[in-house]
Order: sequence, then C-alpha cells, then structure tokens
Amino acid sequence: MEPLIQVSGLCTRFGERWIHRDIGFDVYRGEVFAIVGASGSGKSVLLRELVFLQPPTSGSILLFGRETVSTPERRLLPLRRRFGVLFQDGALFSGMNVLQNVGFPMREQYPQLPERLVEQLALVKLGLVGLEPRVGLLRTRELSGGMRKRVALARAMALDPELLFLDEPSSGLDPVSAAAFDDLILRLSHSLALTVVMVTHDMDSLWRVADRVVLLSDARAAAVGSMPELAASGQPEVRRFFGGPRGRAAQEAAWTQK
Amino acid sequence: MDSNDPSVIARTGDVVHLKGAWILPRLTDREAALDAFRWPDEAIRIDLSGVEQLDSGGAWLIQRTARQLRERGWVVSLTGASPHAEPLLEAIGDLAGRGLQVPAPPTPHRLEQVGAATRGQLQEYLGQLAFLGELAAASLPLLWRPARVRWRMVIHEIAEAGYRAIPIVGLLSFLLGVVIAYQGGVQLRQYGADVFIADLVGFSMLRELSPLITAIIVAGRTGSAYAAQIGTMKVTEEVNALRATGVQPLEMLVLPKFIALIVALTLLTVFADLMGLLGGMAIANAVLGISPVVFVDRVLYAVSLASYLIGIGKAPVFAAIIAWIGCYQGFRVIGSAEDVGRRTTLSVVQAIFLVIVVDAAFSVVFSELEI
Repeated sequence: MEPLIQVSGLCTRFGERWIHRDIGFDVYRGEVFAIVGASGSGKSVLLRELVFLQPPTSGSILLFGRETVSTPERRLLPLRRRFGVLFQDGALFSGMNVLQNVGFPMREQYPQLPERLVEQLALVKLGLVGLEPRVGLLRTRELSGGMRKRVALARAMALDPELLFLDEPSSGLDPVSAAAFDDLILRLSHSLALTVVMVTHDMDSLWRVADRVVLLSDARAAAVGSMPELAASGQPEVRRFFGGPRGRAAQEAAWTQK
Repeated sequence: MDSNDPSVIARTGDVVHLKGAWILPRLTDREAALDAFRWPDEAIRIDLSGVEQLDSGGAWLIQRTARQLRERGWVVSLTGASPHAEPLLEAIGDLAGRGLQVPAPPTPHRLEQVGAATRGQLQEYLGQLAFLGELAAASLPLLWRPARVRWRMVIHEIAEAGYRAIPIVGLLSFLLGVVIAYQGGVQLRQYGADVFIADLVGFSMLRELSPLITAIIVAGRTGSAYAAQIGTMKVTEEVNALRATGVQPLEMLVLPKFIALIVALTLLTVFADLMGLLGGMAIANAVLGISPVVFVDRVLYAVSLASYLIGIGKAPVFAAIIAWIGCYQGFRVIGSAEDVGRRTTLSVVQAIFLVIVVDAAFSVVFSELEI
C-alpha cells in the first residue's frame, strides 16, 4: 500500500502552549482516514497544516511523496490541484451563485475551457453530490445547511482531486442529513477512487465511514487504528474518548447495521 | 474531411477505440474530436482499453456521446474500461442519462423590473419611516422616566463618536478654512477688499460649511459603525437574544446612540467652527497680512448671532438623520455577513444624501424667512 500522506515528528506551538507534540501517522491511498479528538485538541489546526494553510513549528509532512513543510508556496501550487478541501461551514463564495461556485476552480485553473463546458461539468458535480440542476442558480445564502455542505463538496471535487480533506463534514446537520452525507462520502470515495481525510467528532460517522482513525489527546497522537481496534483498546485516554455513552451507542448502532 | 486525431479516437470495423488522456485540461480538444468523428452506423462498441487517464469530465464526455448515439436508435456499448474507470463511468452515466440542462434564469419583463424596483424603493422609505415611528414610540415613555435611559452607554457613545473624532474633524475643518481663505483671498485682493476675507470665511464656515463637513465626516465614521455593529449583532442573533431577555433592542442599541450623536455632533460642529476660523485666520495673516485682531473683529461684526446659531442648530438635525439611517440599515441586515457590508455602504450613502438635501432645504427656508 502506497502512503499518500506521511506525517512525522510534527510539532505545533502557539506561544507557550503545545498544540501538537511529535505527531506521526500515514494515510494510504483509497482509505477514509479520520482525525478525532476533544474540542481544542488541535484537529483543525492539523488539517490546516496538512493543506499548508498554516505552517507547523517543526516536523515533516509528505504529501504525494513531496515535502511540504517550509517549501515555498509557488512550488506547492501543482500539489494544490491534486486535493480538495471542504471547510466547516462550506466557505462558499458569497458573491456567486451555486453553479459559479462549483465551476470556480475549473475556471481559475483551466481558463482555456469554454464557459459552456464548465457549466455542464459543474452540473455533473452537483449531480454527483445529489443536487438537482435547478439548485445551480440559487444564491449561497438561500441554501440550507445540508445543501451548503453538498455544494461545498461539489466545489472541493471540481478538479477531480485524488485526495479530499473534510473539516467536520457532519457538524451542524441533523442526524438524517448527517447520515446521508456520510453515505455520500462513502459512495464518492468508491466511485471516484478518492482518499478522504476528515476531522470529526461524530461517533456515528466514525463507525460508518472511517477505515482508520488517529486520536489526538494531550497534544499527542494517542492511538492510530481502525475503530474496532480503538474500541477494544485498553489505553485510558482512548477508552475515555470512545467508551462514553455516545461512543458505545454509536458502536451498537454500527453493529446492528452490519 | 476527417480531422480525427488517431492517437485519441480510431475505428476498426464496428469498434471505436478511445485512447490517451481524457481529462479536464484536454476536454475541449476531446469534445472536438468526438464531434468530428464519423461514427459507424447501428451497433457500436466503444473500447476504452487504450484510455490512460480518465476523470469525471472525460467520463461525462464519453457517456454523453454514448447517450446521443443511443438517441439515434443505435446500440452502443462501452467495454474495456479499467477497474478504476468502471465505477466512475457508472456514476457519471446515471447523470448523463438524466440530461443535464442549465436551467434558464427567469428574466422578468421590463415593466415587471421597473415595478419591482419601484416597490423596493417605496418599501425602503416606508421602512425608514416605520423605524422612526418605532423609535419615537420607544423613547417617548422615557421622557417621564429619564432614569431608564442608559446614560452610561450614552456617555460611552459620546466619547466614541465625539471625543475620538476631534482630531479628524479639527484637521479637516482647519484645512477647509485654509482653502476658502486662499481661494477667496486671491479674488478679493484684486478689488482691494482684502479685509472682507474675514466675512467670507466667517460666514461660510459658521453658517454652512462646518456643520456640513462635520456631518459628512461623522456619517462616514459613526453612521457606518452603527450600521455595521447592529448588523453584525443581527447576524449573530444577539438582537434576538436581547429580545428574548425582555430588553427592547431599540431602547438599548438605538436610543443611547441617538442621544449621544446629537450631543457629539453639536459639540463637534462648535469645534469645527473654531478650527475653520483658525485656518482662515492663519492664511489671512500669512498671505494677506491681516492681523488676527483685525480678523476677529471683522468676523464679530460680519457674522450675526442668528447665522452662527443657525449653523449650530443644524447639527442636531444632521445627527438625528445619521443615527436614524445608520441604525435602520443595521436592523435591515438579513442573514449573512455579505449583507452587513452592503447595508453599511448604503447607510453612509443615504445619510450623506439626506444631510445635503436637508441642508439645502434649510438654506431655502431661512432665506425665505430672511434670517
């Protein structure tokens, strides 16, 4: 198995406070990898570091086999085309409608593509995330929470990335929409051969879609493994996180579904 | 003419071979190749085993072509796709089958557009008036119980809108005095009427310009801040939280600003009067050789108390307009942060517009009354 992301010795410090201390893990092609941890454990910071929106204090991140820490932004540009990011609240461009939002990365990266084709492809992406073509003309503020996430996902996939980063994909969604979004991620990761890295603390989502999980606790990577492995672990911080009532309920739900 | 690129698309018998990269950056060329290709009749097998790269754009193009051929009544099959491409083609195939159409945006009739714009404007004016009414209704009961006014907030707002604006108002009105004295002085000297520079500066600054320039600065500085602050509070639902706590948003957010701006703008206007005269005096002294003593003497003679008071008296009216429009636009924010910016801009434009209109009305009224 080929690792798509290799993180090693990653440290982040804000002032006096350590956010990450010597974190290391690998993400392999084709898997759904989840970053979990309590609120304030540095999950979102880690995600921002992986997509080089924020530099770590020290350590190494290899993305597609290339070192990204302290590499000039200009040289990272070709890498950026190969992954998509879904931000927590969608981060849709408010001055554009849905179709323009989804078409934006294509228009920017491949200006030679005719407008008609970009529009058609944006509609295809909307279809892939399960939205009707008529949604395309809506303004972003007219969208519901679930639709926002789907449109943002369509935009993240606009350039057919190999790798998709999702920041809290199910936050702010009702349980039904959250489950539907989980299914969507699973389906897309299969049909488009995507590797997915997601930050979440939704237990149901973890059991349903995550192949492997890294648990951040006390600024360290407390454990890396599949959900059944972590649930069976004897480590106190792992048990504290997954052994709570919500964790157990999600586990039972996952068992009954299988 | 066959303009086919055989490295992309080729035909042997009933089998059409697609080759190479079918990806987004090449999509325009690939589409042209497909369009120009002379397709065999009836049964076609499209062989994809030569396709090296395929993304959703390419898959869509292939599926769309297959669908178009099927619509002619031909039998089309796709074969030889790599294990990676298979699920992609399948996922896209469903979509291509549904026939994606960019929905035409509804374009209303010209007359309808005019109507909608008119209605929007009227609603805006009505909303402004309604807001003024609500504000009056909320503040009148407080006349009997002035202790319920949040005086601490009033003081804070006076410091924000008044005290902190002193440097910019002072500088700009000083410069305005300088400009008038310079431009006027050159003209007056031609007639040997140098000393009338004091009349010119005194009268124009005190009666017209310093209330106006102060109001314009404050509209840009404070009116916009009111709109942005209240607008942001609406977006974050703070306004609703106030209401849920049983606090009248108007009483807490608007009334203190309203009172404070009336006080602050009036005081700032007095200050602007002073700085404007100083600017004029400095230039009169430096360029025309009129000593400050003569200048002041001349100003006191030329500018009547009524003119001075008219200038000062406009300030509270301008202040009321600015606070009213700023707060109204803040409350009109709906939904997102985007709207805050729009409403903030609107508040400044509308406030300055109204201030100038009202100033013109004052001029007409006062000259009719011969004050």
